[in-house]
Formats: sequence, structure tokens, C-alpha cells
Amino acid sequence: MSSLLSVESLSVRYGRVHAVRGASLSVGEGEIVAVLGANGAGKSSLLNGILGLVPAHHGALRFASRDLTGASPPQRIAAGMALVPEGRRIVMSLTVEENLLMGAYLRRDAPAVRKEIEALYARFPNLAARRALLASVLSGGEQQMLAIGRGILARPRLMLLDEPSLGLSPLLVQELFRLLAELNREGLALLLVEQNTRQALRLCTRAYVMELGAIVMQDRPRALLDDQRLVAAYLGGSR
Amino acid sequence: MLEQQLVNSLMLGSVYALIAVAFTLAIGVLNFLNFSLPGLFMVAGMLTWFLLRAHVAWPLAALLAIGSGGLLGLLVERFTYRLMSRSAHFVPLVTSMAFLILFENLVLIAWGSDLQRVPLPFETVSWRLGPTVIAVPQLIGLACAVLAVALLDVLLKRTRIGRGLRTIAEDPQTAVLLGVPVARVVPLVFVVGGLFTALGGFLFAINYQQASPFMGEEIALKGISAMVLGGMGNIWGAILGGLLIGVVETFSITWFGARAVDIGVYGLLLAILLCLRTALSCRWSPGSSTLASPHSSRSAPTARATFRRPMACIPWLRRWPRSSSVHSWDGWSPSRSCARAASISRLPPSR
Ligand SMILES: Nc1ncnc2c1ncn2[C@@H]1O[C@H](COP(=O)(O)OP(=O)(O)OP(=O)(O)O)[C@@H](O)[C@H]1O
Ligand SMILES: [Mg+2]
Repeated sequence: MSSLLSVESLSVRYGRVHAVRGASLSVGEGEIVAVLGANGAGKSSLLNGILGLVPAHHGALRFASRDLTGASPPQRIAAGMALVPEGRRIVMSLTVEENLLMGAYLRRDAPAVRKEIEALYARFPNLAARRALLASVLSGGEQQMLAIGRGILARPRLMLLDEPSLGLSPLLVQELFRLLAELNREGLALLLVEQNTRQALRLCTRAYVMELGAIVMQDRPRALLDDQRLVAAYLGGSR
Repeated sequence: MLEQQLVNSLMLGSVYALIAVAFTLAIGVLNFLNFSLPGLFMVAGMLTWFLLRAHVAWPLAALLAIGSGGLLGLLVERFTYRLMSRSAHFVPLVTSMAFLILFENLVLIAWGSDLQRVPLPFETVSWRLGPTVIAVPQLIGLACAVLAVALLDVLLKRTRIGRGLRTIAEDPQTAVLLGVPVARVVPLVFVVGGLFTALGGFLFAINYQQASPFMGEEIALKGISAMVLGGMGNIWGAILGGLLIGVVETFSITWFGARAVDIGVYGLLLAILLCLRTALSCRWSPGSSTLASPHSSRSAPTARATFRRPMACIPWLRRWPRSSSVHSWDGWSPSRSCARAASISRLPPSR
């Protein structure tokens, strides 16, 4: 499989905290890759490091057969990455539509953006009805849809999602994962950080397991589900 | 007589308003009180005097004087705000104050400390409306000020850069993850702020035909008061605050004499803030032009809350005269608390 993103020994440090220790990973074209791990394992730091949001050191970062090792976040986003961040980070003082437009900040093709926004409204009727309202009136689920919609509008080839199911009801979680599968069918590769391990493993084609900042395992989801240690550590009895 | 005073005070007020807009832009977007702005005001005023005395054509003089504000604003950004990410938050504040003093002293060395008379480059045309005299330059000045703010409003509300600025105002980290090149957008705030204050300096010099190296200091407190009165981060509020201070100042002089001016102005400021317990913009324009929102607590220090609610720093005033709101004081912003009172907005997800 041709590799869309490949990261070699990425490290993230916050002062004395060593959040990610030399993690290497790759995501293939059109693949769904999950990153699992306990709280504080460094999953968010990993995603933020890949996008260049936190000071990271890495051997090499290649994306879409380009070397982005020293690139700035805008350059990485323009190259085709988009992050749906932990906690959604919707801009509350902007309207729903302005939030979507912020997703397309680096794009210059305004008419195409316009069309894609309309298409997005067709997909999320709740957002369409609230397009002119401040984003602060949205419910948690609507905010998550907005965050994903904002990511889609960057027209990425790889979407990094940081715990998108956080705080959603079981029903909405189902809907979210259906949406992710749909986006993937349209050709979008996903790098998915999830606490909802079972769901994530059902969706992904490959998964990494992080522990204390390091990637300790990588396998097909089937194999990971069979791994007693992993099941005990992350799956427990919950679904 | 009354109308004449009103016309005069609107002119003065529009100068204050321009300064207040520059202050409010820096506070609203960057959470930064840019003390160098009055220095730019003064440099523009003195430059106007210098150029006009040297018989430079007045449109060119205006361009140079106003342009100097943009350039110096950029210079200040390099040495103040740019350091902010790597230093304690008060360092840029002090550095920008140092710039004010630096500009003042450079001008003192170059042109001395005298109050200079600015030669008028054109015959003053004035209109008579009954007993009221409206000088055309005054009118043009006022129109320029309003036009500049209207343009700024469009920039902030309708353009891509404006959306980027408003995102930075709420949460710089979110702006970065969406691809806003923050380091390239932030200087814009300083340039625009510099242009606004310099426009104020130019209009002041032309209309009052005077300039001095100390004119910045005198205007600084009025500009900041106008900004506070208008609700920090609210550009139309800043206009309102500036005009109001202009009116009060002019009428205090007529009614109580020149010595009572400051009592009038700052007494009014205190009275308004105490009575309304909020800035004007909250009551009159439910803050659609307000730049920042309370959810920025993620990134903004609590100093912001204190700033936005000037009296929150005095504990007993918090409970007196009455509690008008049950909402938390953290991250208070005038428009937002109005919006909250008007409609129950949902809280952001915890975590
Ligand atoms: N800005 C920061 N400054 C200092 N330490 C940080 C910062 N961000 C994260 N850390 C630390 O880095 C480590 C990894 O954090 P990270 O947020 O990446 O974990 P995570 O795997 O995403 O956890 P969770 O599942 O709870 O979201 C933690 O120990 C955390 O305390
Ligand atoms: Mg996390």
C-alpha cells in the first residue's frame, strides 16, 4: 500500500514532560488507522505533533510524497491534513457558517467552498437550520458535526480525529462512526484517536497502541481484539 | 451656542474615538494593552506640523503622517508582541510603554519641547447653519473617522482575515490548528491600530492647529477611558465612548471652566460604570462587533476578566450596589453577559 503519511520517531516534550517518545507510524492512502491508549498516553500530543502545533522533533515527516519535516501548520494543512481536535474547539463567537469558512481558511477557491458548504448542509440539516446563529448555541453533538464539517472543508486527504465520540450519546456515536466510514469510502484517509476502543477497532484497518508516549503495538484490529492483555487494559466490560 | 458646542465636541470626540478603536482592537484581538499608541498619535501630529511648516503639499503630508503610524506600529509589534510568547505577559506591556517614552524623547530631541503652531495649508471653508459654524475640515475629519471605523467593521465581519482575527481573539491555538498564519496576521492589528491613531493625530493637528511632544500623553487616558466605556474589544462601543467623552469634555469646559474638565470626564466614567455596572455597548448595541468571547479562558489569563470588568478587582464593589447577574465573573464580557441574559446559551463542553 502506498503510504500517504509516514512519520519517523516523533517526539514531543513539554518542558520536562516527555509526552511522545520517538513514535513512528504510517497511514496509507484511503486507510483508517486507529491510535489507542490510556489517558495521558500521549495520543493528542502525537496528533498535534503531526500537524506541527506543538514543538516536536522528528526524524522525518513525509506526506503525500512531500517532505514536510520542518513545515509550519499552515503548510501541512495546505498539503492536505486537517485536525478535528480534542474537545472540538469550535469558535463560539463566530456563527456556524463562519466556523465552516474557518475550516477553508487556506483555500482560495471561494465558489467551490460555497458549493461544499451547501453540500455539507444537506448532510447535516441541523447545522443548516442554525447557519446564521452563533456556534455557542449548538448542542454537543451538533458541535461535533460542526467540527467534522470544518475539517471536511479544508478538503483534506488525511483527517486526524482526536476523540470525536467524546461526550456523545451511544446513538450519536453510532451515527458518527457511520459518517466516518462514509467519508472514508469517499477516499478520505483517517487517523483516529479513540477511547471508544471497540467501535474504533471495528472501523479501522490497522491500529497502534500507545503507552507512556511510545507506540508499543501495531496490528490488525482482529489480532488486537484477540490480545488478552489489550482487551483487559482498554476494553474491560464496556462497549 | 449649544449646537456649536456639540459640533466642536463631536470633532474632539472623533479623535478620541480613533484612539479608542486602536486600543480596543489590540485588547480585543490580542489581549494586549498597547501603550505605544499615544506615541504614534503624537508622532503623527508633530510630523504633520513639521511637514506643513516645510511647505509640503498637504495631501502628501497627510499620507506621510498617517503612514508613519502604520510603520511605527509594525516596529512596535516586532519588539513587543512578538516577544509575548516567550516572556511573562507584562513584558510587552512595559516594552510598549517604553516605546511611548522613546518616541516622545526622540521627538523632543529633534524638535524641542515647545507647543508648535500648525500652519493651515488651505483656506478654512465653513458653513453657517444659523448661528452654528461648521468648519469643513472638521466635517471631513469626522467623516474620515466614521468611514475608517466602518471599513474596519467590514474587514472584521465580512472578510477571511477578519474571521481569522476574530478566531485569534477567542483562542489563538484554535486559529493555529485551522491554518491561520498567526504570526503574519497579528502585525495587521498593529498596523491598523497605528493608522487609526495616526489619523487621529493628523486630524487633531489640523483642527486645533497645534502639536506638541506631549500631546500623546494627554490623549492616552481619554482614549483608554473611551475604550473601557465602550466595552473592551467593541469597536462601535469605542466610537460611542470617544464621542461621549468629547461631548462631556467640551461641555465641562463651557459650564465649569477648564480646571474642571478632568473631574467632569472621569467623574462621568466612574458614574457610568458604577450605575450601569457594565460598559455602554452592553446596553445599546448587543455587542455584535465585540471581538472576544468568554470561552477564551483556555488561553487568556485572568487579567483579562479584571480588565473587562474594571471594578472586579475591588472585592467589595463586586457585591455593591446590587448583584445584577448571577453568572460567574470569570471571562466576563459585556456583550456576552447581555446575550446570556437574553437567551440561555449552552455551555461549552467541559474538558
Ligand atoms: N501543554 C502541555 N503542557 C505540559 N504537559 C502537557 C501538555 N499537554 C499534554 N501534556 C502532558 O503530556 C502527556 C500526554 O498528554 P496527551 O494529552 O497527549 O494525552 P492523551 O493520550 O491525549 O490523553 P487523553 O486520552 O486523556 O486525552 C500528559 O502527561 C499530559 O499531562
Ligand atoms: Mg487526548
